Amino acid sequence: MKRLAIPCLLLSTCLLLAANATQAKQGEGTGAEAFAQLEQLLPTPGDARTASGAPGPEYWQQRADYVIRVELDDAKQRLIGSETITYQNLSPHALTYLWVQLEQNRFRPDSDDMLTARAPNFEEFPYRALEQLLSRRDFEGGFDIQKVVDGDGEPLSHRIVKTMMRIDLPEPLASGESFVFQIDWENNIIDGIASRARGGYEYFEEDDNYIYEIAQWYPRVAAYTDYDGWVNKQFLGRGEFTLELGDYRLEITVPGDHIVTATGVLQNTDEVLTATQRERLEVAETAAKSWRISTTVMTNSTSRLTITPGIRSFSRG
Amino acid sequence: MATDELFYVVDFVNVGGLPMPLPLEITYSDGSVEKLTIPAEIWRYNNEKVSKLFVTDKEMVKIALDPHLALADADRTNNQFPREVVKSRFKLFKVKEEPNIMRQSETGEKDGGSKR
Repeated sequence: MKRLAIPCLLLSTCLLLAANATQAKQGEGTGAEAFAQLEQLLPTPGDARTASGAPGPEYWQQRADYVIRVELDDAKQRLIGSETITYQNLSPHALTYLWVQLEQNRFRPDSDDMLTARAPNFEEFPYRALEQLLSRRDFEGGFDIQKVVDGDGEPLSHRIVKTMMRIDLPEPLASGESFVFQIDWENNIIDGIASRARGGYEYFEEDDNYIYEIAQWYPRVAAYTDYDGWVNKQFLGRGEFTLELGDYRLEITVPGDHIVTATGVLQNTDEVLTATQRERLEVAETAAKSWRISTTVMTNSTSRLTITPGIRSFSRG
Repeated sequence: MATDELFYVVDFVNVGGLPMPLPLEITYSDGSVEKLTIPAEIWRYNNEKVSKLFVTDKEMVKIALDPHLALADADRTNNQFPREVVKSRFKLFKVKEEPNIMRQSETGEKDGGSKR
């Protein structure tokens, strides 16, 4: 039987190659386009960035520090958050506005992600794909932005353009200066299993409880770069982000029977962990391998909450 | 899973070659009309052909592309489903113009200068 398997494997490889060859005939990357030089695509070298792409003598990068307070509403699968952002303009330019990313808005029915979703292939249309389609259609998603104010609590003029928000500054932010502002928001958490979204909740029917995996969950300052200016393209659901460096102070409030895992340094261990868990955490700090703080085993799933050495969780009961 | 919703798949073909947004006007059986514009990003995976799924509660009777002539479209005969008769440019040229009061006041002509 083993011998038979080899020719089969070879055959399927050939078919794959043939499929690739047909694909290569059309579209991008053929003919002259395949041999186009990269120079025209790369940013023009300057003081901030050399032609190799490495930082130049005048390299700069913006900075955004966050203080975030967020509460999980387990009954409504909703997040209620408030954040204060200190934005430092380290660029040599004065800025008259800031752009903020609102990734959750991709779940709104009028988002570019929803509008430009293509029809699935109905010839091989799994049940889950239908479930995904319908769950996104019925979901009331997106950030409900409740407040955008400056450090003194004065409202800031802002404009939400689908997954991006532009905040107009009361006066230009000169190079080297900082601007403090606050955003309050709420948003519904999507069914992560049905929608196959990056973040979301999973419901366990037997226990009637939820597990939450939260991603792209707070409004965050878009990157302002020497090579692209404001990186403010619409979020289409795929792709990664360029973000500014910064410090985060995070307060997460969850129901008492929840455990939070996150990257960072836990500040209030005594308040949120049991004596046994605290002991384990202490061991974990110097352990060579991953160490289990909580041995709670989720039914219907084999996932356990673990904490990797050097990465500790934040939570507040 | 049981659902009463209706599923429509509409195929769009990029005849001219330039990816453009898809301004649409959908007419339902109850007479209601929905307008929406699909951003040009829908062509990002395939700029020649794209299919869009519409999930609706109501029966769709007509769908028209570019109802307000917003696109640079030379051939407007293939913008409706089901197909509709569209006046050709030649026919439009031959159609007798309505009297033009502005022109009449300028030229003093009574027929409004429909000579063209």
